[in-house]
Amino acid sequence: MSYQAHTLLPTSLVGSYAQPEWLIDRKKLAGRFPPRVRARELWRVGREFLEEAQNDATLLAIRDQERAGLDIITDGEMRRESYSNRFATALEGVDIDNPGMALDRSGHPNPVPRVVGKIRRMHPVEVEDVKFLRANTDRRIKMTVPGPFTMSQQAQNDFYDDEAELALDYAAAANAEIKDLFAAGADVVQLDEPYMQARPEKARKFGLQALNRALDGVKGETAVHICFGYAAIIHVRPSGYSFLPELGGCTAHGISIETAQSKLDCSVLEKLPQKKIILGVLDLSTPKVETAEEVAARIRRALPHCPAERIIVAPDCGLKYLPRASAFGKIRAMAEGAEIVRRELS
Amino acid sequence: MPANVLLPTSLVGSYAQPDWLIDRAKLAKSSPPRVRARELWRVAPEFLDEAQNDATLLAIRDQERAGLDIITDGEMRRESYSNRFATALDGLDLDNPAVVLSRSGRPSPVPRVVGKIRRRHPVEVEDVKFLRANTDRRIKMTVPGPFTMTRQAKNEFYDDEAEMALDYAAAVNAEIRDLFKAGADVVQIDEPYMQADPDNARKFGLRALKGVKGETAVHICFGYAALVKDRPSGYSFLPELAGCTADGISIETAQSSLDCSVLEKLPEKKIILGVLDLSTPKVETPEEVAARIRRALPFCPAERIIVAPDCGLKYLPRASAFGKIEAMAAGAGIVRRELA
Repeated sequence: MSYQAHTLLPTSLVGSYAQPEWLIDRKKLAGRFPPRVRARELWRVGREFLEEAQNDATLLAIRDQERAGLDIITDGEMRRESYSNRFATALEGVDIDNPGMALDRSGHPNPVPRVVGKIRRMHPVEVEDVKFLRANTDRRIKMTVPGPFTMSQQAQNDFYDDEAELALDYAAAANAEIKDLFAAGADVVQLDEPYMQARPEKARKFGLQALNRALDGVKGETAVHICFGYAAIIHVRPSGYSFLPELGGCTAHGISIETAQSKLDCSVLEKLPQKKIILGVLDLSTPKVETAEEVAARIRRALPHCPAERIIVAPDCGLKYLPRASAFGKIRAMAEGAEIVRRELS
Repeated sequence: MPANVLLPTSLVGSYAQPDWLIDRAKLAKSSPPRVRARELWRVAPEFLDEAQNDATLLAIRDQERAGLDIITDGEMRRESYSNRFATALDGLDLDNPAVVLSRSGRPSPVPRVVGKIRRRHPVEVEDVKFLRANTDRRIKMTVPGPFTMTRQAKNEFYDDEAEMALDYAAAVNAEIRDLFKAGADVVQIDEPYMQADPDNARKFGLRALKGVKGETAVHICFGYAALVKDRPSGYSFLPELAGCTADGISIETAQSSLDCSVLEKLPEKKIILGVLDLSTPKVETPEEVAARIRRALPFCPAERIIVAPDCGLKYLPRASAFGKIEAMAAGAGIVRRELA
């Protein structure tokens, strides 16, 4: 394991990888907003065989990542309908059978869990997942957990007087989960907080506090992913982040940001001088596979503003919505692109 | 790469298929299909290719992880070892099958031979290319043997059964050549019915290998342990195989506790030695496997032995199949070290 720890510019998915068609109805998945409550009807496999099928899909995702040459491996989130709902719907205090409504980041209403009591984690949610991942790869592994602020925005609050209080209880649940994930063998745990970018004012009010509560007392390498939304669903890209320098104040070790599709002005990285940068270098708005050289150029863009020692090379966001062949081509190009720059720097 | 490993390990052919892919309970309840049995698949036709490819990747991964030296595609795309090839040929009526008795004595629908048997197109060439693209190890493909295919069909066309067998053999011959061209390291012909029907096997033997270049093998057996329960203590058609042109003969010794002295009758052949008992899901210990390998050594030098299960692993629970091949690789490792 130690050899990857010393690799310059290690490569990793953000979290999700393309799911097989035989496993999930990809067309239906792409034709709707990411589910916030459960969406069991998306799975193509009968309930009694779903676990076996999801495990197998996970092995296939691991295999693709290893074959592409990635250094840090995720489970591809094969078992998830969305990055957040597997965890968010497993908590106490939410009614998912009688969902509420919340506006998605695009401004469209989307059914969400209704918060009807104190948010509490009843039991570990992803611990079996991380054990499975640990048992099936020798490389470093990363697990993702939805961030507390984002979960507070993907719910209808019918219980708490104060939204900040709701976010802090989500944070306590995430905190317990993160500690369990490390205990079960995770090398990196990442909190997904896309809504910090979507709702920067609220994020300023209580998002950062909730994030730090989620990371409180955690030992192990942590990261936060923020983004502009799935390219497949959110089409407009701003040229800069509305909530990035603020993240300099969080206790996570790494910040995952997209630079490929947005052609982000990388000078903003200078505002995060203490953080590892999980640098998004794959544009997910197109299935077209980047060349290794294109990837290398995107990595080089960051180097004047962040030393290579602090950079982890990644896609802009999750690869869930890409065709499988394209997803594999892109991560292979990513690994090759990182290698080009590695050789230039050595 | 492991061309010079002593006691290389390999599947016979099939590996356990996932439950999400195929109805394993239904599969185990009926005789191996001789015509098509599309209703067994749990995945819709439009996604079946992707699902079968993925299952193949998983089978490859298990074999590599267990440490096998020669890799098969696990026959994940097949309903039975023979029907994918046998039903793709010209000269058959599959829609109005006849019924014959299978070797277990159960009635089984089979293709009716209504014209000259001919291969229309390569059948398994895409499969071998897929396998070649997805492992760096040596690879083996299996094709059903001509004699066995004649036993799994109802002849309503040929005057002479031997003539029919020769046409099946020509079809297999063309396929084998294509498989080598597409990257196979070993091609194995599955001829379980030679054991089941030795009298006829003697009459029209193995001519499918004529002119084939590349390493070939023949698998004979007593039938799937899951389906055929009784085991004779010896083969009825083994010394005869010394006269065939295949390089290797695959035989089962584990469940039958075969008297391995019979191996002396095949002094020119590689022996694909069956050392996993498939009548039970119980996983062998590496030491048990090693003991079964050692049983053969007085009668066949290790240089001519390939370590394998008794037969295909299709009907075993997946966890058990993996445990067994892991034990098999470990057992071969034990004997290898003893001999080193």
